[in-house]
Amino acid sequence: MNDSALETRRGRAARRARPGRTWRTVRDSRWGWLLAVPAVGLIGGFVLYPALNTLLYSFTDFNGLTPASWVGMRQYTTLATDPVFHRTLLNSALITVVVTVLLVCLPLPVAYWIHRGIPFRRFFRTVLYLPVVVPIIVSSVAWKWMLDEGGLVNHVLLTLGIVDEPVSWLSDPGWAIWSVAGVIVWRAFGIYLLIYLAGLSTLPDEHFEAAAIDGAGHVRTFANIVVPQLRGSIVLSSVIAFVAAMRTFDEIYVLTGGGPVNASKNTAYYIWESAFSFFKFGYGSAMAVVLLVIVLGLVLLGLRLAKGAR
Amino acid sequence: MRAAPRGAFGPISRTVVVAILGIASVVAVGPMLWLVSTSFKDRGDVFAVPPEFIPADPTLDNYAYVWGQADVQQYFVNSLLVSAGTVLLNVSAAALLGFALGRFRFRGRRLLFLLGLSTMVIPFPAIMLPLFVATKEMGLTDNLLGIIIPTAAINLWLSVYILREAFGGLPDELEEAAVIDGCSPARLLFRVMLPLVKAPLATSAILVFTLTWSEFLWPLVIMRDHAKFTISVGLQYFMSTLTSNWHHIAAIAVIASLPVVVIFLVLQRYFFSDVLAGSTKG
Repeated sequence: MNDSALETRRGRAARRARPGRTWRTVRDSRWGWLLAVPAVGLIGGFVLYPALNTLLYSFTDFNGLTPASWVGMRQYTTLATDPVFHRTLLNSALITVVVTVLLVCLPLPVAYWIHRGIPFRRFFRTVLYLPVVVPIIVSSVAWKWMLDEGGLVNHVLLTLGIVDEPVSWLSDPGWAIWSVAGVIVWRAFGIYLLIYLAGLSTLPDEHFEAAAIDGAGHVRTFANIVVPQLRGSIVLSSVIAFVAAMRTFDEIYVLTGGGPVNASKNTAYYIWESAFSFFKFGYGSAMAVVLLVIVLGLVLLGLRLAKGAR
Repeated sequence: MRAAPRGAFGPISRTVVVAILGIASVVAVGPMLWLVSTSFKDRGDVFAVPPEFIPADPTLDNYAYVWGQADVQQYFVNSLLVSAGTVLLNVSAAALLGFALGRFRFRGRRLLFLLGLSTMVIPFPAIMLPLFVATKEMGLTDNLLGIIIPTAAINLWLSVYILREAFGGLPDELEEAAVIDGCSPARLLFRVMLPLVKAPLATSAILVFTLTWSEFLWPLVIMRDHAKFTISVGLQYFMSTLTSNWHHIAAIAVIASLPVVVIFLVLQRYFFSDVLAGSTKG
């Protein structure tokens, strides 16, 4: 037996006993899956299983109470010619585009200012996050009252001379949906500020020091460093804001009830209304499938585009 | 938050930015302050023109009145039970899965990720109808568990993400020592690692608590019995019955916000902690 063989054998034994073994390197799936059981049960039972059932319901005339019969594609053909449904899709799109664009863009400079040490930054951070914490119904109630024709918003605008006569923010069909979108942006702003601040905290300070040495001003630093480096956070914000805006319900329920005459009714609201006011579970489910397909499709498309652009 | 370099902003840009953020702050908290102010007014002053921002003659009558309504106390307790129960279920399940995903490399790991991400992008109204039917069949409508279990499932991935990062970030030496001692993964989790991720556990618990406290659509759908309303549903119910009693509605609204606002103000370091930073790596 020569030295090198001995060395190898010793090495192998040493490697076996080396304290470098962790479960990350042991491919043992029993423990992994065992630990996942409660979570998989919750998600499977209360998210995925209902999602599949929605698809099933959409081919029936289920009313939520009595046994349903199979109606094939009838709910979908009815949807195709339902002007209210078309209106709700349009409203969902309008709310979602405005809300997503504003929520992805507006908090970015604010996060930059706070990260770069503007005076009172802790105070601003706290105050701007506060609307996220307050229950949605509470803030919606506050806004419903303030946006009333005789409410505080009109009082302030009249006093400042910005408008000449009170605006019907919630009962004018031209304004209702934008009031809803505005309240959503007001409430959710802090979530995206938080995401961007978390993203900025992972950037090394050297980026900013190098920019300062190069004589780059704030605008250039923001455009050339902050925005490209926060790509991940921006994509995350876009997805979260998009999905949340598509499921908007609470603000519409409190502020406008979908009105006046469907002017601010979105698809999520129409699903709820079909099922729980008119007991059309089958019809509501067909809408839910359309909503699901649109949301999943656009998220996948968006993620692919974001990846491709890198 | 790290100390930022002094003098990043010149005097002019500093003034402009502080002014912008000052206006934004007024807009951010104005509606809440207006509710608080109204909750201390009596009926006559609520619609005063010009509006009174600080009540000339503050009164606690509105609070005494609405708190005296047994329903409001019941709603408040229901919300507390629902939020606490959801946190317990959510964080327990998420800790186990977060530990598995953070420390183990096993077959099907990617499938679990896909499963979790799907919960982030499935909009709730798209699963609400079958969920309602299933809840009814299990006899959980008009039952607080009927809110707790689905809400824990829907927000699960937020906690899993936070805890996976936390467990994955612990030093490998802990685990190596455990393997040598022949200690089981369960022992490693409960005895060694769980006490080391207290801050991320607290972060997920607090975030899930505030999210659940604010939950409206699902409790609205499954609760018919008034005694089972949460405070959000109860507030909206009061609105529909006492349309013009804004001073009472404002008092309930302030009561409904108090627990979460206090939690936020006292525990804000958990909201802005670096625990969340990992989730934004692109």
